Amino acid sequence: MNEKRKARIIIKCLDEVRSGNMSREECQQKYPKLAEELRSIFSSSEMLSSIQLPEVDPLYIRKQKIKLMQKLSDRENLVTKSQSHRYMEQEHKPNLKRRLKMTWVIIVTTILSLVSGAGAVYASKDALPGDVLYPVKTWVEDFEETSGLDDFIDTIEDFFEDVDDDDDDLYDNDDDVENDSDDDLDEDSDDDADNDSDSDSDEDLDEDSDDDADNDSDSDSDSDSDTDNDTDDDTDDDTDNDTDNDNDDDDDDD
Amino acid sequence: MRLTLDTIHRSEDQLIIKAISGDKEAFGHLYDNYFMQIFKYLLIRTNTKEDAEDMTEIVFMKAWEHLPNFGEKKKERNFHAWLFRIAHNTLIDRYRTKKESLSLESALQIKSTNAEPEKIVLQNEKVKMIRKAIKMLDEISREVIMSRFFGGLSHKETAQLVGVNENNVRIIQYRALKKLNILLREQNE
Repeated sequence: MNEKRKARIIIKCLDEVRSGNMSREECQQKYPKLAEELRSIFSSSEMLSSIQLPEVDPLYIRKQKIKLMQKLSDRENLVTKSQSHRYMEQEHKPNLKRRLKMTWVIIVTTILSLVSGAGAVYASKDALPGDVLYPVKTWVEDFEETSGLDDFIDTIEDFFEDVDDDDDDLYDNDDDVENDSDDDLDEDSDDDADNDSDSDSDEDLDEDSDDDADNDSDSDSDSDSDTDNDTDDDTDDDTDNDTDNDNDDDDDDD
Repeated sequence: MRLTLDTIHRSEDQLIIKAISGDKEAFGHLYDNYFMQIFKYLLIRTNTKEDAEDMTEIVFMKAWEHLPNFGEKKKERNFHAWLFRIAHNTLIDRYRTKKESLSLESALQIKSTNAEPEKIVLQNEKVKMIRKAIKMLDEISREVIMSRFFGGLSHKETAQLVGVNENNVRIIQYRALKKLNILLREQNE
């Protein structure tokens, strides 16, 4: 018989004897194998029980009670009876519904904390010294360095960079196709511009030739002055044409 | 019997709830119910009757003060054990501040004051032996013996007071009584 079982039987017997439900002999007869041990335990118990503490006078107790009641401070008025309700709930009615409510509060709070924490860390990525989130950034960096996360993040970043490069290559091919068509359009427009300038120059030439004819009729001998006048007229006409074109453009823009 | 115990517990619960709300009369009933047990427990652990009286008052003052927190911890939902825990802590505080050692001699000698002189001598001898034997027990065994034999605590309440489970209380009590028997026999020889 192990000690635990023996202790349980002997102490149960002792309790029965002390409470008067059973006599020592009855107990020893019930457990003959433990009779010797029961005897020694009963002996110790009897020794302890023989110490009779003095009876206290009921009048003295009453006096002490009155003294105590006078000393007790008034309890502050409770706003609700939550404390006594809490005791009652704990003792008698475990309110599972309310407990689950509290669980939800904890779950929601945890999720919110995680989300806001992650948001703060993300937002602090571009923080500079002096910004509110800068300490968060430095803390996260320190943590990454110390925890070895840095290498892991580098690996992930390299991976994403590679993926980006592949994507860029794909985009580059598309751009080439688009650029070719753009070039064609540009060339066409250049041609148009050339044509315009040619027509302008033709007109200039026509005007110049008219002027030349006039000047020639005025003075045939003075060739130097003719050429000077020609150039002056040309430039004047050109500037006039330019300004006209500019005004037209402005109108179009408007 | 069961019905009666239930009724007692229910009425005690009501008294506790009323006392928490500030009802001094209800607390007075609790005082009546537990005064003797606390007083005896303290008397057996203190040097004098006066000390036991002072400390009993302190225990109930503390109980009134901390009653709104009663039941917060799962293990402290038994009022009897809770009150004894306060008594135990008060006792420790008292002897820590006074720097005195726990003595059983004076308290145990009180019983013999009304007896005949011859019996007083014999009784004192017996008390001395028991005191010496109890002193030789370890702290937890001493606490279990005191709670069970002088505090009137059940196994469950003792378990709550000492901070072990009920089965362990039984084993500690069994071993302590066995050891006491050996020690007392040695002293007699």
